Amino acid sequence: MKKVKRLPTYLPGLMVFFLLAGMPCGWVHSAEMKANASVDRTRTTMDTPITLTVVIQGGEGRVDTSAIRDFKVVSGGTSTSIKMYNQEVERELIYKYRLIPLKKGKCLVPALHVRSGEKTYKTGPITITVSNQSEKRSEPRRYFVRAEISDPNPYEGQQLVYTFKLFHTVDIRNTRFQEPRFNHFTAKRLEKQKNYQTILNHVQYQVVELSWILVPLKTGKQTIEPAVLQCDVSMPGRRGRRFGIDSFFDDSFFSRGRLEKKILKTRTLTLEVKPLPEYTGDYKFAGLVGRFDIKAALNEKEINVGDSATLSITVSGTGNIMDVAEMDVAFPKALKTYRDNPEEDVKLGQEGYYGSKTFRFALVPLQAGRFEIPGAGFSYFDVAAGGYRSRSAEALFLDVRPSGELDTDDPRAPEKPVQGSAPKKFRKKKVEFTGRDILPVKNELNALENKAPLSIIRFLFYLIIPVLLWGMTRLTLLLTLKKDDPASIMAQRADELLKDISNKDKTDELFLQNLYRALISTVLSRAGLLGESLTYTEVKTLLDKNRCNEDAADRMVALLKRIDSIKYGGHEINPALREELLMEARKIIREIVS
Amino acid sequence: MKKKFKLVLSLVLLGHLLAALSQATERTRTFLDAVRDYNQGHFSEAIDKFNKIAGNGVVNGKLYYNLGNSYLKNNELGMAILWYERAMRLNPDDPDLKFNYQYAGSLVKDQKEGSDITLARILFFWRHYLKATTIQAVAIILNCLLWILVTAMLLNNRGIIKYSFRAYVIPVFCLSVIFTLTVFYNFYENRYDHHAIIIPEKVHVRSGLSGDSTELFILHSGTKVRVEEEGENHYKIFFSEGKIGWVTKADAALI
Repeated sequence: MKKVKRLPTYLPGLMVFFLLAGMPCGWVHSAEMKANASVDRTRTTMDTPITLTVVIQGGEGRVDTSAIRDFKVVSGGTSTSIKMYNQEVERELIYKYRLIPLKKGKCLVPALHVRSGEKTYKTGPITITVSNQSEKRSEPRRYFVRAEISDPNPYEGQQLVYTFKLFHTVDIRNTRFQEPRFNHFTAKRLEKQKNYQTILNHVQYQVVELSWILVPLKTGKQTIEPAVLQCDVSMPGRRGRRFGIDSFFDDSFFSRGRLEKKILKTRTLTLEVKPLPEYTGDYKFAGLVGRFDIKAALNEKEINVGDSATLSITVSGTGNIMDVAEMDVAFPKALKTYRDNPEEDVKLGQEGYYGSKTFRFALVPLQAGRFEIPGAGFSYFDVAAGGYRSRSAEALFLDVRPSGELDTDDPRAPEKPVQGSAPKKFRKKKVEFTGRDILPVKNELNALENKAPLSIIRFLFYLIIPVLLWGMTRLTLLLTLKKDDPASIMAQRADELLKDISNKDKTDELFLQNLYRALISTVLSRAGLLGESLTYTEVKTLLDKNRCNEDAADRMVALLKRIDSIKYGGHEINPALREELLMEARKIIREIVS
Repeated sequence: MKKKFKLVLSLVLLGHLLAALSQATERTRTFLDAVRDYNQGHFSEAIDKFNKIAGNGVVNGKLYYNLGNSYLKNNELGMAILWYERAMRLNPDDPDLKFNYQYAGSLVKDQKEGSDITLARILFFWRHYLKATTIQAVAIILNCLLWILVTAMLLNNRGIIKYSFRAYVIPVFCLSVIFTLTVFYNFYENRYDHHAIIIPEKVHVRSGLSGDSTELFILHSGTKVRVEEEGENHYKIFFSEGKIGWVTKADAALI
């Protein structure tokens, strides 16, 4: 009967696999990349954002929206769509943006660049008409946002506080906040968000407040663009109207939690940043704006020649304390000075930066005398006063005694030895840095030697060489010693004998004889000797000499004795006994050989 | 014919030798001039000369140390730390380098966040005390010793030599594995675990690749960061937990 040939069962699955695997390839090869931009409407108001959609077909790319100047751009996420038609698969990457108008009139969404690898594609430009139609409010607003600046006419370098506030009487959830870009300002957000209640126009609002410390970097008219808050607002339900008690049943608790997506934005803030007036003071002006003070202190007022004292000059206050420049002090020439790194303790508070900066100098007098250390000074711009102020520390005096002349109360002074007693030791002091600098360059010519580590290939090569040498040694031993080696010869003989007696056709006498010889050959192989027979004592001695397992050696001797006993005792050997003897022999041989 | 070939070959070899010697002499002169410029306070000139030697392919921890010193004296903290870091990879045991590196590190404005202590640092702690070339040499020597001992065992089994050296194989094997793994870890780190140093005085780390992207935080000259990704003109850097962003390649140099 003929066998019907059937298709392998895996074949349909394989076909589907190749079809699906081939589809993206076909799609990649056949589709050419295109990018299109569209909006949901071309007319809108200042309060109403529009939706911009950028669709990329036939590839992947990144959209650059930095060219859009007339709108604030808020990203709305990306999605992917796959379409199939005419046996071709087309994949689309969709980018969505919410555009919030920044001005009235004709606003432009310019051609956007879409970058895909090394190529750039462009969408078409779109013109939007923005009119000024504001909302009519007949009742108090349930939610709104506000941005405030502490001073709309600051000086350059002055610290300002920018505050964003969200006022709401309804439940607000899923907030996503986009802070404004503070162009031409340094901005640092205050970590703590404030939550409190307030009453405006007889309405109690919950308020969420965020603050930033800004410092203007550029003079002239500066704008801070709106901050944007996307959120879900709980809207009132309709139940209340049925019963006539609107305010109670308008609560979101009863309105089944109906949420509406809203985008709230603050107005653009305009500041006029004034330049600092011309400075004509004595001290160097390093750009400090705020309010500061200075003090100086010496840790020791009296020291010996060669000892050191530390002068600390601390500038503290509010403002850009971190910009306090290095203090220049006209130290007397008899004092050797070593400047330490300044230490800053600057914090950020509700009004801005405040704290202190301390400059330390190690002073080592070279001669005795009374030295005046003039007070260091600096200038800063006082915003409140609208002018520059100078501050200086008071002068300090350092008394230097000749070296060796120590106060008897000074713990460093060596005590006068009492007669008959051993002299006491000095109290040790920790060695401090009196100055900091780097160690010099190396001028030895071995700096020109190439000390690059080995590459991985070379390193592996050096690792492999000894392995190859070992392999060659082993091969050489295998080829050269095999024929002449007594151990190999005897081991081979033992193998052959064991194979021979495995044949059940052998007579009992031949079986026992060859088994005995196989065991003796194993012992001789282990000892590396040629021979035919051994006594029991010789067997034990040879095995012990060649560090064999003592137990295995004893069992070898026991088995040899047993074989002799069976052979010369005239016992009958049944197949089970043969098998038992053979297995025992193989086991012992394995233990001895290993 | 044979004589002519030998003569031509000798002349070619001699030419190469002379070229190499002349290059070495010029390099030595440049180096000594650079050291003299440094000692005289002409740090920019010293930088140019040391850079020229390094640009010619000389990889040497002492040369990189000199570059670090020159940049530091020239008030280029970022570049100084970059070259000190490169020198530390070659000579982690140089006390002068450690001293200067620590001093330069104390001038960096940004406070380090997080800990330097990682599992790898604990497991391979000797990497920070031995030169990379030393570790490689020890690994190769231990590996050779291991295979010599294995060969000795083989010969002993055949009765060719008396002593087996069996007792030494395991400790040598363990040491060989440790040092070889250390070498491989060094290769892995050099190839895949990239760190960079911030070069300019102040760098704005942003959320995206464009200059208008939101500024996330600011880093200052000399700060060490880990490079997570590399774009065409930007690096994505990791400073500490939660502080990740993009900088331009001009703002950060790979160690």
